[in-house]
Amino acid sequence: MLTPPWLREALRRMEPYAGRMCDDDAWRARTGFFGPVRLPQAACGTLLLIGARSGLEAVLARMANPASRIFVVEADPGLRQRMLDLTDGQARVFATLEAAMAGDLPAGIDLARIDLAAFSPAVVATLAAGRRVDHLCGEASELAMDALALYRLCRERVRSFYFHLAEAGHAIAGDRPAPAVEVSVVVPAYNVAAWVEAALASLAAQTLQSLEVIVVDDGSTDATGAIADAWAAQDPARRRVVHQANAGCAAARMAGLAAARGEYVGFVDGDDWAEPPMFEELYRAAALRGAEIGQCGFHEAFEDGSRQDHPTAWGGDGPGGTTGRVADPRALLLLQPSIWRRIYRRDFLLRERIRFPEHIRRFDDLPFAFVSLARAGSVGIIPDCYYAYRQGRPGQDIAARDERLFVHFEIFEWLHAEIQPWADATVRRSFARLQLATHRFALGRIERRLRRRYLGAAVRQMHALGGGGRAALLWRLWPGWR
Amino acid sequence: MRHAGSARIELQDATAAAAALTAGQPGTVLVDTRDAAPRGLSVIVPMFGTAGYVRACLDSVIAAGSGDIELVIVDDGSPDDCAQVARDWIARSGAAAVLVARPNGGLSAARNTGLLHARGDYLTFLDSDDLFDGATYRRMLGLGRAHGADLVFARAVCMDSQTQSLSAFPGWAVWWAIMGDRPMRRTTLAREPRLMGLEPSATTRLYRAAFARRIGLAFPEGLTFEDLPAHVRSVARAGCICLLGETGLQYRVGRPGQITATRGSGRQDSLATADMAIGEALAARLGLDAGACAYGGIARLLFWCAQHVARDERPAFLARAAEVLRRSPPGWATGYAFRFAPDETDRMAALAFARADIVLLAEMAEGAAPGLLRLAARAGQPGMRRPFVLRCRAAARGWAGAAWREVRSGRLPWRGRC
Repeated sequence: MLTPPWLREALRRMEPYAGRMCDDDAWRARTGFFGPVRLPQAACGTLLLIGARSGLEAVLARMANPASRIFVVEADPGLRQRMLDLTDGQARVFATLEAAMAGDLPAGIDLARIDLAAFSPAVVATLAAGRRVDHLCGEASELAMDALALYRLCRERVRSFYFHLAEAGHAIAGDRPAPAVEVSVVVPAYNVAAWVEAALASLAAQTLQSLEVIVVDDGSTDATGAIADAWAAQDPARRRVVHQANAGCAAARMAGLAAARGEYVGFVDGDDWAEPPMFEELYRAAALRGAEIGQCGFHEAFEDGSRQDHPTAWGGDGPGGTTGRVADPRALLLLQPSIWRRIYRRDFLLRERIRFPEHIRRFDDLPFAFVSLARAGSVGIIPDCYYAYRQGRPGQDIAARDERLFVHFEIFEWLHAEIQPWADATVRRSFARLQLATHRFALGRIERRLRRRYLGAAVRQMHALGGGGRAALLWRLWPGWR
Repeated sequence: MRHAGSARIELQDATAAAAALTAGQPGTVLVDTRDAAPRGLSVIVPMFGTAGYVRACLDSVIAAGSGDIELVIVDDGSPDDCAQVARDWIARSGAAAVLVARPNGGLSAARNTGLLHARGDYLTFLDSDDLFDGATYRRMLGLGRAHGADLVFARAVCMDSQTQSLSAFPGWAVWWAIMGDRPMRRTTLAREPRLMGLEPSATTRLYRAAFARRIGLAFPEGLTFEDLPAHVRSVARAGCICLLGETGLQYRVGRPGQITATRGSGRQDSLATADMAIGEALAARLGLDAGACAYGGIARLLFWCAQHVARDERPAFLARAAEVLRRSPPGWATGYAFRFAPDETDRMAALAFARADIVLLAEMAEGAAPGLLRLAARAGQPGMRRPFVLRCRAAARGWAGAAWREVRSGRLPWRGRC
């Protein structure tokens, strides 16, 4: 994919040392194995190579920039001698990193490259602590160090970094300063006093340290607000409560979103709860893969203590497709709208102006889930069912069986206007399927006296929004026939 | 459903198009660390709202030593502190550089301003969020000087802003058709007409400064997709052209606020620039092959823009685009479709533009897979209106048949000069 300058000449120079390592280095130079931002082979002022490998990188660097200063840390004396031969004695070679640090390694290093054989947490920490490193790259082993720990360490200490993970087969990269908060969790709560304590306790027990919780009390008439206030007072730096007059779930979520500072934002409903590893694992799935959205599974938690798991993870690049990065998130468009099991990168939501429709009082998560998945570049998924979705609570939105189900038409009207400017054929098709699935679900549970009216309205609207012919829609929607 | 008649636009003639490539205003010089010594290469870097990226961009240019390179940094009235970042960078790096400030006028205007301050034998442009390997600049400069080339091209690669992963640069297929795996190539447009179909970006090439002045190189101010007319003009009039098979530009994609990521009215500018580019191609009296490649490049850009305009505006946009493209001689479209198009989408789009088949184009732009079988397969999808599918299928079938009929009957030339 790449052809770095001087590669041909450098390979000619390497002919006496040709071998598998040299071939491997040439392949790495051509594929941007160590990241594109500053190819280790590219010219730069001060280059530190930890682990000599074949020596091709040093030859390339010297050809591209004869003035570059090359420092090599290599335990094998034979390879040290080879590096000196290849660079006409211009490289400075050391047996250990400590010796190099004690020696005349300059305070500012433009680029450091760590080979897999030399990788250890100690090497990264020593390098990051002692010197100003502009770009740090290399091959990392998760046998030696947790990828998220490496990601965080690099993000704090170096300007940009790119590590290929040897076992996972993908890379972690970053060139932005560490965020103030990694994940903000917004908890919209309306009259859930009996359950909100469990929800907040589950957030307090999260293993992710850099987490802030914003409870939005949506004008509750019971003790919900007071419980949230008391809970937030225990740790005011990481917990906040926003009180507002009752304006609906969408408005509450928007208020929480406006108050959030995190790199990612999650939503947990006041009557549900999240298992302790949830946000750490979501952050790992999303941030390490540079994804706009992270998604885990969820389970329905019933009153009698039983649970029904819904991993619903597919399309990832990991083994079995249940983990990793989903390159085309539109594959997930038809999932039941479950925004609470995902985290969303905040700058992505702001950039794409993705919001909850505040005038719609129910099921506002459906358009949000659809638009965010349709617009996201990639999603990091894991199948673990960390989110508990409480079932059977009296007064729950989802339990409605009457006229309230007609809100779907308002939602689809709004969503259609929202996606109209940019939706392509795939999104449009998914939108039609989503309408069909939602209407079928509603027809299955709506009271008998309303069924005919709902069916007529559904066919009329779908037809008007370009969903197909009236007869075909009727055939697909009529519940008794299928 | 034909929209071509309903949305006429005033098409500029070739001379008006040439006049629109105006010279820039000089701006104010804030810092100038250059000495009187002649320079080999001037790199013109306009900045607007990219304070977080400028340093890495400038660093990459002089990473191989600043040597013969001077930087002409133009602050295009940026609202953030780009100018201060650049000022600090100049003081720290000690590179030969000039920092010019001007009121905001867009990328084209900033490049035109930079052109007035460039003193090198060769000049090039670099966007302030991209990276360019300085060693490649020096190799390109050496190649250009050795052969007296008017233009020197190098390879480029896309880099995702978030994951830093690499992907192929647009138009890579054209590059591979021209270059294969060769380290370099010295050629002219007459020998290699596909040069006209290269990605028009001004950042992947060096211009010989005397040549750029002779042809009046400038970018159309106030318009986006500014590279296209300058690309056609410079490639059409260049003598010797060199290509270097090494990667220089690392083009950042997925940055928030990127010009090419904007949707909506900005895309309409592409109609004006495409019109100017067609005017340039006609004025240069391109041969059939080079003309076909120019047509393909312009059609590709317009089709790409059509994919990103709002759905309601798409038919009108496509109708206007077809009208712009129909100014070209008819042989260009068929020549491109049957000899140079790298894939089926390009081939189909080029012919559909020539026939002003807006229905087919709109379906393709919306993401319907090309090819009769794929179109037919869509009929089975839920929510698909069957009459519409049948109409599309008929349109596609009509396209293949009618185009060939016209070629066979001699109404559309297949080979030879037009």
